[in-house]
Amino acid sequence: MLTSRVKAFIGVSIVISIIIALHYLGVLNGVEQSVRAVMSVPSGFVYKKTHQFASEGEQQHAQDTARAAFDSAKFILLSEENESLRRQLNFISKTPYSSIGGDIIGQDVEPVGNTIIINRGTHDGIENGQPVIAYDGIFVGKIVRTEESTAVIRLLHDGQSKVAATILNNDHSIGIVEGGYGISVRMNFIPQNEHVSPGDVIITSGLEKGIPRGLVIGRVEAVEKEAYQPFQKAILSTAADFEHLVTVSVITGI
Amino acid sequence: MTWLKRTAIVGLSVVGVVFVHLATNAVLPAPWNQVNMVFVFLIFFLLFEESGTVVWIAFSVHFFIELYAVSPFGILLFSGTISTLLSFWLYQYFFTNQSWYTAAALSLLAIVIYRSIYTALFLFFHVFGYFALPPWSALLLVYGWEMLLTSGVTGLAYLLTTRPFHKKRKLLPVEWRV
Repeated sequence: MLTSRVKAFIGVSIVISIIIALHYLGVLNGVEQSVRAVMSVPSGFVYKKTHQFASEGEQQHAQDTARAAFDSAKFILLSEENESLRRQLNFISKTPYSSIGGDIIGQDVEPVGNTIIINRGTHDGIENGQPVIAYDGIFVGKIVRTEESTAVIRLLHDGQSKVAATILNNDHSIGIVEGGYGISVRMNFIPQNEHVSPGDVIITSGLEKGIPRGLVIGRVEAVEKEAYQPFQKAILSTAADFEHLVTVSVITGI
Repeated sequence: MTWLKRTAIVGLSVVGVVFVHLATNAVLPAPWNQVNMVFVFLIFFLLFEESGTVVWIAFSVHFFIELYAVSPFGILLFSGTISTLLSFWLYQYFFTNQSWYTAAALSLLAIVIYRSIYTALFLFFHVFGYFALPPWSALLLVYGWEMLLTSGVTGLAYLLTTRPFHKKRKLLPVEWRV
């Protein structure tokens, strides 16, 4: 005979299983959308109120910093690349890529995740894998989950973030920029024989499907180079200020 | 009418605690944002109401929170509900009195169970390639803060809410109502 506790455990597990099954079958879509719609208003308000800059000066400083990194990348590219590359760099105003602006309405509740939620979803043409930018082209992350009216963005410094990147040095070194669970952002797989210096600007390389070339990622802070390793690593400071993001743009139509 | 009123209060509390949990996560600086307000509420409900209804409240709260998570749907719902069920049994058969340290200990055990189940499910999905496994050091650090702060906040809140009244709550026999 089953004890009452075993029966209770089985009963609760069955109810949870039914709800999970209904979710994946899409039966609960209406309920979930309604809950999100209701909750997004107050949570978006709280997020905005607590993440916006304390003062106009602080906001201006962050924008100037991001702008400086962007302008630096822009200058180097414009001076070194051809007209085609120049068109790509000024993607915000001159390229065929369109973008959709969205307000951040919350952030993830996972213990080690660095993700945010925006009030744009599949209804607005958002798809998984699309790049997300702040200001005039500062890369902040990628779309990892979409719902009808919301989307989740995995930020660059999340532990599972990866993006193909190029350093704007003489070698135009390529590698993979990876997040470090909120602790650091680093660029791996840089060929050992290429010269990388602190201060070098890093942009998206365009070698990854769906991510255009020229989105500014950040600058090299330090280089880790071991003689016996085939690749070197660079520790980055990101151009985006993830603590004060309030609105972002999703690049679509790539 | 009493039943309707009680259901309405519980329903509003569920929505309220979801909002407070999300706000705590978004507003407070690290490591204070690791306080699990859901479990603070659930332990309080368990201590004051002493009812198995807490399991279904945990179920509802985690269903809503699941909508704000990136992990596959079900991980938070399963781990949150089952850990509350096990915590209810712990309270029913193991804890013999009510005090601030009972509240803190129960909260600590609930989070330990919750995160153990969560991590086991996380590993399960990792094996099938759905998730990259975070470094254990980062994971354990976050869990450690969550356990410490949540049990601390629960114990302190219990102390503050019961002390002013200067009366010992009579421990009622707990009935099984899940």
